[in-house]
Amino acid sequence: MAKFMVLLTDDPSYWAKMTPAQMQEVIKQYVAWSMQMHATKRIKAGHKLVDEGGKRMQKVRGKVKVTDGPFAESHEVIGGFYVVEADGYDHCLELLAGHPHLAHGQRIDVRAIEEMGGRRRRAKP
Amino acid sequence: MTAAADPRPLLDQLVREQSGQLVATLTRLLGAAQLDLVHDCVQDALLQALRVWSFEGVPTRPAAWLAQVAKHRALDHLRRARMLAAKAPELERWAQRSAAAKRLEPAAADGAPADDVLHLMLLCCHPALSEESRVALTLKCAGGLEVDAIARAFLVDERAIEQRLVRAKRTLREVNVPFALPTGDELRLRLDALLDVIYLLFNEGYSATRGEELSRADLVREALRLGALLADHPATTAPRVHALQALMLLQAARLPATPDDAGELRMLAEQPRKEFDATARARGFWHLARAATGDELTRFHLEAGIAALHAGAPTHAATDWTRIVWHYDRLLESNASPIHELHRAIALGNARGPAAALAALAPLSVEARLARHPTLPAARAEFLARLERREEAAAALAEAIALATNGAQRRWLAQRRAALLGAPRG
Repeated sequence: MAKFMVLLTDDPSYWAKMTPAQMQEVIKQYVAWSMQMHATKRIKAGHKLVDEGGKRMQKVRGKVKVTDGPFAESHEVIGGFYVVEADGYDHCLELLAGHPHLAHGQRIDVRAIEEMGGRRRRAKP
Repeated sequence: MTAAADPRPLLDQLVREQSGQLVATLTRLLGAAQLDLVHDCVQDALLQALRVWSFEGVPTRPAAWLAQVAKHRALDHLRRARMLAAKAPELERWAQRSAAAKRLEPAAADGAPADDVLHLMLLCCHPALSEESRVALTLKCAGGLEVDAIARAFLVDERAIEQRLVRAKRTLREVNVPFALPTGDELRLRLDALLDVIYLLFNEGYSATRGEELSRADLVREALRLGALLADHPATTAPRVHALQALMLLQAARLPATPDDAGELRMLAEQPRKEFDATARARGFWHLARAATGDELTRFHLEAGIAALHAGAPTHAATDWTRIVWHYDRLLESNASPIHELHRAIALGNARGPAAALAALAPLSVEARLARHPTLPAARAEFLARLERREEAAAALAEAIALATNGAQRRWLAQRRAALLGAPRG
């Protein structure tokens, strides 16, 4: 078994067009997906990230510079993440293929988590 | 991968029940005049909860979780509306109770939530509101149905429902109705109105008037849930409440037998009794026994009696049609309804033969309220066919097909007509 970091990237303008009732319907699809994944113990962790008010730190000319973001106007915001357990990349992608995020034209990024300590170091390609 | 069962129906039910509960509690805390604010808070809380749950999964006690979020939303709104000082302490107490309930077994939590939903439903049936507003408001507030679902259920466009809700809320603000249990005659009146609303909801679910689906299971479930709440609560339990619950359960017991294997409509005569839902039937008879404890005989009693005769009959042929006719006669004494006349004529035909049915059906053809009702020509066709008057029967079926608004019903009638004319079944 390998673990994967799954990042859901949102385009906030897509959601801004919906009425709360429509949004509720759409998000119920998300919850239904996660309920199934939780029921089969595929999701090891998962959290929604707060939409706004993030900070970005960077050392600029020897000093840590802090900027605000992301904002709702931005094109891409990481809405949340899961840690998914799967047999390998293919299996993980298969599990995610039915995620409603894709049906709504949004992007999912998947990265294998590097594991140490005698276990397989790299997920099967 | 092995997929777990689709959790959607459960999730929908959870959201509906919790939203009704939250609207009820917040309305008690903030007042009936604040229904708009209440709806906004509940909408926000649900949305936020769902977004978190789509990553973390649904918590074991979603109710307590939602109560917390709704409290914060309400406080935010109140802060903006500068009403904070007056209402905040109450909200605080409520949220603490909900948080405490999280640690307790469900049975140990206080009984207030059911009371709140009950008060809310009775508020929605205030006499100052028109009947259509009562229905819309009850479904929106206590039933947790969204505007589009209500619009779908009653075949009006969303804007019309939106307007009804706006008008209803304005009326409640103007009349300044207290959020408390009415007493005496006032309670009786509002309870009667509420029973009508619930039965309307049930009927809409039981035989979807339009569209392709035969019934809307979600509406039926919602009507049964609200009915059970009234039947269980000491303030509203009454023989006629049990009668309505019995009527709905005994009819709902037949739902699994209604569609045939192809999902098409199957008439009562063709429904295999063994496919009836035994649990719903047993619960129906239990409520029927409780309905008989007083001396009141309402239309719900009589209709439940008819449903019981159907549900209890071993076969369609062995149904006690004479007693069914008796029940319809009693119903017609208090309430001259052409629909009841129609069903009485059908029962009469089964009890005393097709000629009696045709004689009873004949005067109904001038009844304006039945002019667009496919059951009238369909019934005439049935009894004409039993007299081997095939061509007249086929003509009556054609009339019924033209009037049918439900796709499944139309297909059933067309099939029946094809069989009658000796054409191969389609």
